[in-house]
Amino acid sequence: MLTKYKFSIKYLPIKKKLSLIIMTSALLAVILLSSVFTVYEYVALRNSIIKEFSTTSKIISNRSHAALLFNDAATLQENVDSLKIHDDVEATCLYNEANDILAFFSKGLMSKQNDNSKASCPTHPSRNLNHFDDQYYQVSQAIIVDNEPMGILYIKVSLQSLHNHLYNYVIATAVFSLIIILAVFIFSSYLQNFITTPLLLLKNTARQVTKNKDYTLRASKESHDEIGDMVDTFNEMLSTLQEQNKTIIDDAESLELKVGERTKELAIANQELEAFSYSVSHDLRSPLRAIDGFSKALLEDYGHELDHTAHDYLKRVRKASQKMGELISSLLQLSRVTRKELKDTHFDLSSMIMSIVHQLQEQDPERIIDIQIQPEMYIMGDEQLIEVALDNLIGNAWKYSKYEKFPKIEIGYFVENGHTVYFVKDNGAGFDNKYAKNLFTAFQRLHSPEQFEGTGIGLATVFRIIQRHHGEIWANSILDEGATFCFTLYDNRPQDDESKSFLTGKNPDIKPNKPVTDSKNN
Amino acid sequence: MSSGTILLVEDNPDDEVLALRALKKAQTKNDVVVTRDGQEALDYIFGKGKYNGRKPSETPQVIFLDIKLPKLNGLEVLKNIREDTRTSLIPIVLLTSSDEERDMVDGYKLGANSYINKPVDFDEFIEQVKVLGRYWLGFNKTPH
Repeated sequence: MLTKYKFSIKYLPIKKKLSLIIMTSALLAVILLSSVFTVYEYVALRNSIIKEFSTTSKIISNRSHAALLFNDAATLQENVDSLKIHDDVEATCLYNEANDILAFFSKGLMSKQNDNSKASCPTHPSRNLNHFDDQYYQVSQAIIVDNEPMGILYIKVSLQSLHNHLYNYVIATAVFSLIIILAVFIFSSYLQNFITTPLLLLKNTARQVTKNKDYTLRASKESHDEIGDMVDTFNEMLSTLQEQNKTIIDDAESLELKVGERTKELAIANQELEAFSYSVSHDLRSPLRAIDGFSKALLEDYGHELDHTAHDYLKRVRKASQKMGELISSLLQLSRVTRKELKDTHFDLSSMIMSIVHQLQEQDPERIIDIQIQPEMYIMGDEQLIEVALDNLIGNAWKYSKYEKFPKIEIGYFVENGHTVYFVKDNGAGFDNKYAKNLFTAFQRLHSPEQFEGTGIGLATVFRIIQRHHGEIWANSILDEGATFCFTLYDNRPQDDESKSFLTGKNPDIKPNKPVTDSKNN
Repeated sequence: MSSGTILLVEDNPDDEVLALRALKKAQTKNDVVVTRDGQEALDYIFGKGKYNGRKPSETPQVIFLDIKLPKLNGLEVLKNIREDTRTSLIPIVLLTSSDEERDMVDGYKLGANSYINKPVDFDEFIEQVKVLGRYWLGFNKTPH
């Protein structure tokens, strides 16, 4: 099968386009001009023939007046023969009033004057004929003497020489036109360089700039016309690009430098933090251990010598040092959570929650809590960190529902507008919603230690963990009615108005496995 | 209970007293030798320095080794003990107040037998010493 090439001027290079335009115009002009000249020449030749033979026929007819009157055939023949000298005259016939031929001559039949040769003469000549056909020009002239028609002169002229002349003329014109076209072609080829050369230079520069990303290149200006303007504009554009490029590269370099510096600083800070945490865990704990240990030794060994108040003081000393031990542990955990490298895996959240609850139950076997855990929850995240977070959240729910008569904890997830939200919900002490934003700040507590003990670092740790998982955490509650902590992992929180029903905390019957669709249906 | 020696390596005098008290409370009857830095501990074990003349073959029944020590730290001491065939089998319990996972992993890698995270609460500490003391001094059989 042949490939079909769809020819279009669009795909021609500009040089060929220009040639095509110039040559087409020149050809059209030359053809039109030669045609006009040829037609003019033809008309002029015809007119000159008409003029010549109308004059000639008048002269001959005038000269024939007397011979006609006297019926002088010899003179008439002489008159007719006088036209023989004219090469183009094919035949001449002279008639009397009754259309009888009185004298005639016919080319090629001059020697024999028989009847056949008279055939060149029409039998009924028109009185006033002036006619061109393909080969001949026929003219007839009435001969009038004293207003009396005496006869008719008929002349038949061959147009062969006119045709020859015209033919030569056309040939000459064609040759001349060809020469003109050739000249135009040569000239235009030379002249179009003035347009195409700057354009090609501009194109090549543009191509090089694009290919090598070298913005120092400039197109050379070859002309001072629109193309020249274009070259100037293009060069200006290149200058701007070069400047911008330089700025970008400089910025990137300085940014890289800055990033490098910051990374170094960060690494140093991290190292310091690590060293700090390490020394905190070693050095801050040993004095505490000594305080607690020796208080205990005092109580054990000298307890009998001390009164009730002394016992109380020593117990307080022990409690305080133990509290500080817990604080140190929590702070260390918070710092570890920040430093730890994330190792994401896909794991069974539900069974993790169950083991956390199991541990809590073991530590506190007396408590009877209604716990509902959504089964078969699988999530992606750092298992260790998520465990720390859930440990804190569930531990809080456990702790803050301790004064509740029928404590209830619910853990699950719901999907809202495409966002998966996990939640831990209890019906415990709750908190005043206006303090909700302080919840996740370290050392911020909304309850007194007499009521609920705690370090105030747990939720800050949870917040950090969720943040490291590019998720969001929020909480809402009504005082004495319970609290709900919601979080997302690698996902955004649904818009506020989307999760209104949940945020009010007044929807205890929410089914965690079903998305909440009707926000007004409390 | 066995009558072997317990080697306690502890630089902090308070912790030393408390550890001894904890051992007493755990009702261990064994002799306790205390060394106060890593180098001294190694000198004792290999019979060098001020312990010149002590036979390295008389290995302690168990070593309670603090990690953070002057001169040589606990992990280096552990490494030295494990590298010597005469002492490589002594049960070693690492004691530390750090709960850095790093320390625990490094300790087990170097061949520690147990790891006690010294709690602030002394009651808990006594409990742990009791459990470990019973294990390493009582029921556990060590090759001689």
